[in-house]
Amino acid sequence: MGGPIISIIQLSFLLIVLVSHQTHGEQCVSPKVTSDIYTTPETLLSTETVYIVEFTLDCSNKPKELNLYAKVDDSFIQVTKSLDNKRYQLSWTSSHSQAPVGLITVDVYDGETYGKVKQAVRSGETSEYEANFQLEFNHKGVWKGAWLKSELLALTVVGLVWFLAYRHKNYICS
Amino acid sequence: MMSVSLLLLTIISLFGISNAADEKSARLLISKTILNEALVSGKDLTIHYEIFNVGPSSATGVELSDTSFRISDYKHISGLSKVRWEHIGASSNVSHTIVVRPLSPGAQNITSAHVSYIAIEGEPPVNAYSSEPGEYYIFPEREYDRLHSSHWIEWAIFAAMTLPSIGMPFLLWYRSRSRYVDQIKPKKH
Repeated sequence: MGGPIISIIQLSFLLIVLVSHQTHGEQCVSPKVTSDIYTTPETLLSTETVYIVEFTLDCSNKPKELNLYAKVDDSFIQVTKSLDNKRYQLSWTSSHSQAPVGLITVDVYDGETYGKVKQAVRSGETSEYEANFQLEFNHKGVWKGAWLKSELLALTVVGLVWFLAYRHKNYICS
Repeated sequence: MMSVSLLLLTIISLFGISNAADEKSARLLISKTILNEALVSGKDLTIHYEIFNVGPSSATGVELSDTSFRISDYKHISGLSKVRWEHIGASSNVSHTIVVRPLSPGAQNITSAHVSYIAIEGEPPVNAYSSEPGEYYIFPEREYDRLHSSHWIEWAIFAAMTLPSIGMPFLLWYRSRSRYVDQIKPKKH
């Protein structure tokens, strides 16, 4: 009597679980990240500071399709994937004056956690969900040009030498 | 009579269906811009892509592929040239950046990137192209250095070269002055 009812409940539970996995992608268990970083070195070569993080992700559950979302400046950015699903790239830009410098930490959420976070935001809950992993890298800042121009220093030295000579000449001739 | 009205009805309904399909279709606009103020051979060139979905529904399976930077002319520094977003929602946008390095100076025409995406569920992917940045002149590195690098080495060489013509008279004067001063000082005492 209870058999078919229980199986219906189990089936519906399984369906719910499967559907929730499909809405935003699978999850990544015990992630291991290897990353390559690029940040803009000079202002002349780019009008905005660009951050590019290319990384590969090793998950113990080996998901087939994984959608990742990174939290940058309090908003979520979709992480792009290479066509063979092996490499990911997170990139964003910022104006030079507002670009963060030094150690930068970015929280990355897999599809499942991201779905939960969005759900919490929609229902007005304040419960915090932990990021699945973090990307950490250093940005040295942009080189805006030499702070002391060599021409200025050369001019100063020449001016100083001339001044000393002129002063001494006046002293001799007076 | 019946068949004509039936035909009319099917035509109208098809028109209605295609309209509904357009209403549910995603539409992507892609911009490809060069972020550099100056393009110099041997220095980084930053390319920024932005994809805007101006349609009323989401685009899925968005694949951006940029083959305009050939290996023979550019070295890839950072960023993937062929990427995929699973889903771009209606009225939202995504961005992507890559960095390459031109290998030789001269005029270069930078062409569009290609994007394919599924605008309507169940239909084959749609092709779209980004904006074209156009023709740019890539400066040789020497010209760029002449304008923008700090010239400490050149000034040091200049100082070394002018030192004899200033130093020699100074040394002669100083030697004679020191002898003169030595003669005056004993006389005073």
